[in-house]
Amino acid sequence: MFKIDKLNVKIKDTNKDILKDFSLTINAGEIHAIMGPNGVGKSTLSKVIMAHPDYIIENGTITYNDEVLNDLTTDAIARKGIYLLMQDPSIIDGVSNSEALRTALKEKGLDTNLYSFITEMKKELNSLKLPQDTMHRSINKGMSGGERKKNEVLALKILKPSFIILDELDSGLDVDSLKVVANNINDYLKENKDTSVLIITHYSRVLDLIKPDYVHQMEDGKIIKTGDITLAKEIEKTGYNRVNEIKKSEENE
Amino acid sequence: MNNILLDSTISYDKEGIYKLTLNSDSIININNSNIKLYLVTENDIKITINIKGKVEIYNFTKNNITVDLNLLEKAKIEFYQMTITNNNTTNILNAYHKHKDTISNLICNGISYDKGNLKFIVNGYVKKGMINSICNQTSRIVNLDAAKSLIEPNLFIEEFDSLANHSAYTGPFDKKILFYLKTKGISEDNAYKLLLKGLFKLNELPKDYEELIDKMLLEILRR
Repeated sequence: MFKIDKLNVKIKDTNKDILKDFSLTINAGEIHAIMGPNGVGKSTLSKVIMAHPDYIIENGTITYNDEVLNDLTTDAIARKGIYLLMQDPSIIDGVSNSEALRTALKEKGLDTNLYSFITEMKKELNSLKLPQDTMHRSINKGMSGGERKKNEVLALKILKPSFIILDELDSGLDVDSLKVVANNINDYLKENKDTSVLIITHYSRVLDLIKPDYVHQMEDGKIIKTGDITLAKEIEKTGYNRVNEIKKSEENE
Repeated sequence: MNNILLDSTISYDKEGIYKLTLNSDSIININNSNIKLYLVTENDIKITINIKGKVEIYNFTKNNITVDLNLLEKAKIEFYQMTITNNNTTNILNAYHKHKDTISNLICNGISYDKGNLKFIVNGYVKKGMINSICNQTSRIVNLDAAKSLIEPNLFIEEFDSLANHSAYTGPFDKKILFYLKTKGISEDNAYKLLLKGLFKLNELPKDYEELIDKMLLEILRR
């Protein structure tokens, strides 16, 4: 179980509160989506979970399988099985995908046998419709936005996390590529039924492909409304402001 | 890498892969295409390389060096400078386009560590009349510890019908890149190891040459 309890976070070296009493519980195998307009702290949340150095946890806890993550380093959190698929994955010239992934597997204490690694990479590259030489190429170098996202899904399938954060998965992806990426993630989830997912998104289109059990609306650093996929459709139809107006009028009544 | 040069002038007339360790001022004539030359330069020396054809040259050093690249007819050069230092070190690289339709691409990567102060002065010269020449340079120095560095990229272009580009970066590794690698479960030490190696391994290198660089990188990482 992944749980965030009354988390308050500031941007380092400022007094700006970015998450305010934020709470969220995701059970094994559940898919949750967080929606919200720009600047409400959605992507910040993903970075805070991964202990990004730009943010300071003032109080509250993040726990995964009953272990507090607050004081762990980013790499230690990742080795617990938490995977962040970034909105804008970095380009690293000179470091190949295979070098980085084999290093990561080794640090997790998993099998790094070259033959089985290459066999698995070839299989996943085919599945993601990426060229076979991608494994020897520098990380995300010379790739389009869509290919970079596919490359991140490749890393996900090799590293086999048990909790996945998808930050704006659909940004930079065309319709066909989004389907390939979503199908790969769904296949992974079918094979790993206890894996949980947190989808961070502006739009509901990605939720048509990776179906969430719960949808949360976020505003001003906290969750203000929770529902199912119909909440996402409502937001898509009326916009964030209109949903809030309806909520307020319901409260007044 | 034990092919020590005794004569101050050497010529390469056949295509192929060559390795050379230089410890005194030298002149190298490259008279053919498809030549790959892997250099290790020791001591503070000057090398003049006269190029006729398509060549790739790699140079690894810890010292002050000056390299003059003379681009003659049909010259197309990819020159990779790789420097690791913890001292005051200056590398001066000059690409002289002495014939039309010539291409120079200078890729300079360095690591300045401990109390190092590494300076790259990279000059591209395209004289009037050297039409269709392309003169590119990319320089990067990573500073570790309290080390310093400086890059001076200069393009002296007199010919309008030519193309010239440069980019330069000095500083520590980008925090965003370190964070990215850590999100994959890679520890800070191993992330640095990958990035330091990656700085020099933009292309596949011969095994013994790679081992030489690895040995130097290991010394940095073990501190």
